[in-house]
Amino acid sequence: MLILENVDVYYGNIQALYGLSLEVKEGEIVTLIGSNGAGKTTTLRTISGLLPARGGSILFEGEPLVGQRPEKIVGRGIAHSPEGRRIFVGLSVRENLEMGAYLVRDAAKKKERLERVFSLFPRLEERINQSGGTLSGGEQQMLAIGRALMSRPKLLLLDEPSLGIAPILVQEIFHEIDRIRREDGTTILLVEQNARMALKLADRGYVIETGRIVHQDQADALLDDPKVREAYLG
Amino acid sequence: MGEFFDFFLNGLGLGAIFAFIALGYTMVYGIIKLINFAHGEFFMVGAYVGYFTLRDLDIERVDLPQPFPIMLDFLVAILFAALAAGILAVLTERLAYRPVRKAGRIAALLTAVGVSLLLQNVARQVWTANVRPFPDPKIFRTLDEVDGPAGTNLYADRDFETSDGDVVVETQLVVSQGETVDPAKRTQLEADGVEEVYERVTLSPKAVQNYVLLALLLFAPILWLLVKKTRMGKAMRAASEDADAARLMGININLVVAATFFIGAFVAGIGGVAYIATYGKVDPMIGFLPGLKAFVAAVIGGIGSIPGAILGGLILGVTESVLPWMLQKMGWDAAFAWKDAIAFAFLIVVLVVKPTGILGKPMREKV
Repeated sequence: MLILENVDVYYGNIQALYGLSLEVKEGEIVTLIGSNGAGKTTTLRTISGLLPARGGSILFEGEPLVGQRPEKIVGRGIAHSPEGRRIFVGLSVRENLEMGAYLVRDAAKKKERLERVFSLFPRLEERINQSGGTLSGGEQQMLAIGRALMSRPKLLLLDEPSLGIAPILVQEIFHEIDRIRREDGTTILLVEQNARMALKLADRGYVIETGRIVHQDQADALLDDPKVREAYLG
Repeated sequence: MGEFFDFFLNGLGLGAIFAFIALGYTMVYGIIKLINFAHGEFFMVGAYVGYFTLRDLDIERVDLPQPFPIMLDFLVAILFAALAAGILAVLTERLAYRPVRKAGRIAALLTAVGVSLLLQNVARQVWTANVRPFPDPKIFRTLDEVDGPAGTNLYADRDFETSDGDVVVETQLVVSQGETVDPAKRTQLEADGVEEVYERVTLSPKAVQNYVLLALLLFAPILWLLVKKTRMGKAMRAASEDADAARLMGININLVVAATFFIGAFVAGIGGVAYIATYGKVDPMIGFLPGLKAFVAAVIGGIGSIPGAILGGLILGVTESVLPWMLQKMGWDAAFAWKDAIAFAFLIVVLVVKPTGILGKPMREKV
């Protein structure tokens, strides 16, 4: 479904990704793990078009993505729940979710998707008219994921859904991520620092270090890998 | 007390004009963090277009009972002024601001100052630097309709040939107030080529200010609904909070920015007609000081906040009107000459007390 091949990305003159290649197949949950600054977020931002790739290619369902604007890429079926949640704090929960379906003109579809998001995250329905800024960290994360789901993506990019959230809520969120794949058939590329949780959920995993993929395997194999255990599972 | 109330109302009327201009400053700032110094020139161009519409299109000729022709005259002038300012703003954004949007805020700010000077000077070339008096609305009459002593001065537009052979239209007083129009006078006028006369309707500044205030009261909720309820309005709010996140939703930022410039300048164009009707004149420099004060108003209200711009405009207007009056009462005769200085001193005080303005949100660093 998604194939990155030899992707080079720069911030100004500083190279952030070096010939990065990875693949996500339809229906999979693939996780990208690595330490802070390894290039996880950069990878997702490149896929969704926020950062330009200077070299290499990105194919989504066989069509190239490189050079397309983010607003076009959403329309192609890739939704991105960004690092740090980036919800609109001045907008209400409902408005945030509506923004997620910005390209959807059909009111009935919007309503149906809104209900789907509420069935995954009932807390959001309780807070429907509250402004995004008044939510707790965990609720904001739910809102960020729900907002991304409103476009009914084929591929969902999740950046650090566990960041700064109480462990009990992390459990809940990961459980719902699994449901999104099982019940909606959404393919997921998950970036996480919490490698253990991510690998337990995922089918396959990639390990990224200083902008390069250094290791890839089935998720359970990575969980047992001594090097991965030492570096990322503590 | 009555006198105070007069100055207070006067201030509100003045403040409404500031508010009309400040809205555009604040909306553009909210979305791309640019102090658009050319905004005052959008206002000025709107004022000119309104001026020419009022002067040349003779919309008052429409066959309706008074005062509808005059109202229609103003409405059309306001619409044309607003559209012209809006279109100019969209072009400016596309041609001057968008190319430098990624080059940093200083580059954008300098571009804005450059555009401002450019538009001032182009206006001076095209429309001359002359101060032009406000064209009062006219009530047209055919000669037959005038009979007996004239209630007001009556004018007619007539063609004159200049020494260069050009034909220019000049307005001429043909019947003075109280002068009797009888068959003899009519024949004489007809012989001079006058078939139609008109009276000028001079609106008192007080009445104009009340209308301006009324226009703001009518317009503010429309703008509020636009930003609060429409798809584009929500996209604007989302983009002003977090442009990248907005793009991830599928929002076309360029379109949102263009729409923001258009709406902001559209509103300033309304203010342009309000200004020339209040002050009775238009010239290429009118964008400068009102533009600067509207910027002050936007900052006082909290830059980026739409209600803040309206509140800031009204507060600044009232301060500029009432404070000098109070100071004069207290014995400072020259207080009114200092009103601009007082307005800017007020800005400094507000910024010292509340740096984010009255309704501004505290700045938060984005991680």
